[in-house]
Amino acid sequence: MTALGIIVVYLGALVALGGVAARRARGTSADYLLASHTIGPFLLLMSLFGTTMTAFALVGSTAEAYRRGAVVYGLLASGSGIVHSACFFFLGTRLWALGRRHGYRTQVEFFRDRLQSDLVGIVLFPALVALVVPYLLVGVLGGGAFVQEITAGAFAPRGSFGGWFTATGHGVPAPLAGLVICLVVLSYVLRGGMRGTAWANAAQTLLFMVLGLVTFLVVARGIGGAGSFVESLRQATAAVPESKLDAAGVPATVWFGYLLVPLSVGMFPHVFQHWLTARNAAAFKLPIIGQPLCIMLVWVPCVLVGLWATTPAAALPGDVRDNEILGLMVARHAGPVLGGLLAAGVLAAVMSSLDSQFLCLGTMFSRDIVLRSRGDRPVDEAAAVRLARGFVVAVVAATWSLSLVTPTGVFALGVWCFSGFTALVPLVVAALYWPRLTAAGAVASVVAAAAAWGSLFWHSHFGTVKGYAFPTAGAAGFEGWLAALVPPLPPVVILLAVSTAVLVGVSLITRPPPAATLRRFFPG
Amino acid sequence: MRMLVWPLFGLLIVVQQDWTGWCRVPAIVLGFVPQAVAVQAAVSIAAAALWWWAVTWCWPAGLDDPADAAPGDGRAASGGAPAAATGRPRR
Repeated sequence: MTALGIIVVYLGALVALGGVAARRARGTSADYLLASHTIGPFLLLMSLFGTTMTAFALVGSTAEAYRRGAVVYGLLASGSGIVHSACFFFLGTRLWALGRRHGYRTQVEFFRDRLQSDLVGIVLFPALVALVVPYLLVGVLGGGAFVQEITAGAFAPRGSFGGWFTATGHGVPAPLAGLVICLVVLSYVLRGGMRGTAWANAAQTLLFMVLGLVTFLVVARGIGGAGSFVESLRQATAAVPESKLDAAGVPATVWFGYLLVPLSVGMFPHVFQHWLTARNAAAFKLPIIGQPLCIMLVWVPCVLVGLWATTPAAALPGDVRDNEILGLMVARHAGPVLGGLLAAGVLAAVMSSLDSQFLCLGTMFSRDIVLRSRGDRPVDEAAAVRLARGFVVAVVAATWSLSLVTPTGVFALGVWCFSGFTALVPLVVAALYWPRLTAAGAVASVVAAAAAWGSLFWHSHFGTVKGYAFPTAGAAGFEGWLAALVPPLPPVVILLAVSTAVLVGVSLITRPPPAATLRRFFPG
Repeated sequence: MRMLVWPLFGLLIVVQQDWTGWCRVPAIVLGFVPQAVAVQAAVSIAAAALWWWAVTWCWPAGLDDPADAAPGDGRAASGGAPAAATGRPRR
């Protein structure tokens, strides 16, 4: 009950924060959508880091360390530190400059303008929305599962009170927790806009970093036993099976594939919107330097906790589900108060991504669909906003409904979602650095990426095959013939190769863009 | 200084991709950190240092050109609708 109380207080504080941000609003769309380009280096770092770290980083990394061992940090975290900053440096700063110059609010506006094509927007909008939904699912599933574990026993029978939720150990059921998370985020995003989102991101990011470290120290003490703290750490790690300690047996193609996954940041629509909020280009410097360090501060403790979960002292049940491992470790070894605080920290990580995604979806719908459909006719501002909010609520409702039937874990779902975004990265790189890119090349690349992603996702039994790679050795037919030519490759490698080849090939055989357009984007 | 940054990133990728084999040793560093984690955490710290170097010596020129900045003009160059029509209603 203590943990549940802390979570309720925390969620209430976030709703209040949205109210404060709403009172500071200037009443303009630039303020609501982009916080009037006033976000400085520290808030930008916290916003970008908080947005890119979700349940995937906390719940997913712990679970994957439990399953695969210490190699998880190298596969995803250290590569992300290099690649995320590269995206901020090479893509973010340039998109920020173009956004300031031409007044863009969304990715689709940039691509429409750069390629002088409405068709690009028509194809890109549904692709981005379709990829954001699994990303939202990662947050809803991870946050819901964690709350369920951490609140177990909160509704146990006490006299005439309680006795509810027997099937979930008298804890808040994950679907209900996921629903509450969505509603709280909606409340402060719809009222506070980007300012509320940036403030909430910064507060929540600091919270989950600090609480994550505190929890790590307490769990270490719980697993490692008595003696000095350093001795506890040693005892905890000493009991980890040797097979979990190294990266032996991971093929080079898998290492390379995981290096490509974080490229997805370059095409996240919500990260694009955060880039545009920067006060000036120099505000990017701190996020570029700080992102690898922040990732390390969050991931190293999570991976170690996941490794300690494999020890007999952790006493986890053999049939434990991936999304429940962090919650169980905290519930059993950190006590109810810290458990509640860490639950707030995990929710902070989840919600600091959800809020940006919700706001971004609303922005994209109002700018790319409602306004475009009006053409030059005058727009009823209030009606456009109502439509955008209705769209966000509909997407959130669909996401929550999907979370009830999604069979795969947070980590696998996250990797599939990020791989899809990575497949779109050649588009933004070419738009910024390759004048020869054409609208036909862009459209064909998006369609090819979507088709390849859908085929591979279906082939992997909707993400349920662990460590899926294509082609499978020993398969029959075309796949078997292909397997004789190339090694099994992670989906992200195939997706990136397909979208790049189609983008370059179709661009080269179609008419180059007009010189007047290119002068606006490549003045040198 | 500029010339050195990108080759050093290449070197960092070599270590990160474990071509050195340092992550394949099931050893424990400092008594409690698996070597596979310790090596990659060092990669993270080195990445931050290299990015500091990059933003100091290789920062793109002209990004903050005042002539470019037209915040809130709210109109995409190809005829996007006015931004004022998209946000919250004025109160």
